[in-house]
Amino acid sequence: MTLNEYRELKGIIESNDVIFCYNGYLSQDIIVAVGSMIRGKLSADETKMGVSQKVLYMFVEQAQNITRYSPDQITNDESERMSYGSIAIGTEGDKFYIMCSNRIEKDKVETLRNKLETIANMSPEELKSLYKEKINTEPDEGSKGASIGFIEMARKSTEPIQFDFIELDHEYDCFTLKVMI
Amino acid sequence: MQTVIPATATTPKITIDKSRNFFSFEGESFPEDVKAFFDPIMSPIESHLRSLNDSQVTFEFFLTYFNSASTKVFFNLFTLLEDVSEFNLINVDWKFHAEDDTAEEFGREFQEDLSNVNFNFVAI
Repeated sequence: MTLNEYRELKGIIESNDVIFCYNGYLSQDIIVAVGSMIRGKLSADETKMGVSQKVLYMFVEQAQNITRYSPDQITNDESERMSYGSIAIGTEGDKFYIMCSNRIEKDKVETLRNKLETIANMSPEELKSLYKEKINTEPDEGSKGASIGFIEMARKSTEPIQFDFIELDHEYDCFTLKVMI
Repeated sequence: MQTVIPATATTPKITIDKSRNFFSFEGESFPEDVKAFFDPIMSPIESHLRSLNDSQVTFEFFLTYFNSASTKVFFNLFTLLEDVSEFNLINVDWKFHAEDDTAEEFGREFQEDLSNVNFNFVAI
């Protein structure tokens, strides 16, 4: 990357009122450190606690999705798992956006797309009953969490969740998700 | 005998006092592997609770932040509490910062599925 290219990248990021933007290997330690930075920044801006808690919630859910499911994983010397992905938090008017992007294996796209399409089109009442149903049953196959992360994000998001899958090559798509608070 | 599991950056401080039937969870909860952290803690609590009869049990929660996988762990715990409330008096104190409507809302949703557990909201 040239100095100019890097400055242009920084310019794009800053023109979108970004508080935090990361592209690289994410680990649990990094999630903790960034979580603390987000709290500090939002508290300094006198953001309402209910709002800053939701921003933090979205960030941790998205970051832990990357550490759990991104196909690009390595293990460091302390046998801590690190996974490659991208996360950004910023403001649009009086709202916060939290978005993430990572590679996904093609054979997992259809299931995730169906799940997200269902969730994105649900009313708050339908989301709540889906949440109650999921929390009462065993997690979906292949899930390392509780299978309620996306539902909870959709319930907390003040606008419908946005997402897409863009083809990268014969093996992988790029998955991107955006929520608003 | 009281056991205290100290808080870490991603797990809450947990107090387990079987002689007084007092249990508390305080802090943040977003460990990477929720099952690996909570299973060894929750299963002795479950055996203890299931062995009780005509006892008074208190659970205190002051969780400032928890992830979706932890929600499931606490939901399962509340289901267990509802189960054993048939034979025991179960009190839950759900503490939250007065301005933190997210934590309060989580408590309200847990409470909805409980009919026999005394669920108290305590704004701090």
